[in-house]
Amino acid sequence: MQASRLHQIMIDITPYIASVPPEQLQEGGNPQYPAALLFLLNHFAKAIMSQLAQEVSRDTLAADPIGILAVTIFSTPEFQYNGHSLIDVLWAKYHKVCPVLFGITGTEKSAAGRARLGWRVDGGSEVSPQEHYDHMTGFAAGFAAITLRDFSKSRNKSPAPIHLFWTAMARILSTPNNEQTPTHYVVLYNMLKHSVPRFIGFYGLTAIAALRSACITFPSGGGPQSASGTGSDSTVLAVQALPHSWKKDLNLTL
Amino acid sequence: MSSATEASNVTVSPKSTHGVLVPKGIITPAQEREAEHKRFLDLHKQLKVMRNDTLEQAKNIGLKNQLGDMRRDIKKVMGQLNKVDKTANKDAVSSDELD
Repeated sequence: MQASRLHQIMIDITPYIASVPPEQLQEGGNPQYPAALLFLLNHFAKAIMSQLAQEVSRDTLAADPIGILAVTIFSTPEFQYNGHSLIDVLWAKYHKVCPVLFGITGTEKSAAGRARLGWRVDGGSEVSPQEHYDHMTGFAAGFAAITLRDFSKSRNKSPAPIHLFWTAMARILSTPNNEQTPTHYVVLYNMLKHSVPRFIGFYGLTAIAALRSACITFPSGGGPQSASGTGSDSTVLAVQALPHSWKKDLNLTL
Repeated sequence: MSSATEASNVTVSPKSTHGVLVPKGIITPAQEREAEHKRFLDLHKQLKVMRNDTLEQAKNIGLKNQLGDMRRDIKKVMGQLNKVDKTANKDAVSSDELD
């Protein structure tokens, strides 16, 4: 389709870029953007999330090409407004389905708490815990694949700078023991599992200290208890076991 | 009351009466997170409205079917991404309507 057709309906883009102050967007007058392009970018974001929930949840290595495609599209100058990426469209979806990445907490023991944690409701009823954790697996692996991208050789600016990964991790790790849920641990586990070489590549020794904090300090209070009440939940044990697999696969000692 | 306290009261009060400039110190990180979260959840709702409005307007100018086709193409390409062969991904994406 010719690009000109996409420009037939224009829309005020201000409300769709949540991370830039409106005054800044409106500096050059009324900020207009092709509605059809916004529509397609929105569907692109939806397709990413659905792929993360369905495929990446089963195979987290499949997150990588999705992350590359996401940052490629959202960093393309032709799809931006005045140099501002439209990636907030994707983050809006992320806030909806995986709030713990943004420091939101809630208990898994009530429907209201589960809603706070992004627990999906399908046809009027909540999905099973397993399905919920599968979704979190995909979204967390996807988040790492989107934010831990190297733009040092690119002409374009990263639409998802690495500090977003750091912030998400810091917010999760600041959750006090009594507010930690298996959801937190599933998200943390899958953010980190395949991210270590890239994370260390960006942050060096600071990354190692952060990993130590994630796998040792964070669960040191025991975290959420298992259903039988005999100890920490299996999701906690999985995070505590991560350093062993990094030692084996990467020869990394925290 | 000491004169120093009075002086500081004078500088603080205009800000608080306007209700716009809230001293940064009293916003906790938790409040900041909740505010950010709400902003993005509102955006999520707004996007749903935008999608319906755009389809409605596209119908009026005969663009709706093409938009629908492009939306399906996006979904198709996403499903075809290959986790091993990255060159194949480049070809799949650039040969389609995403370019």
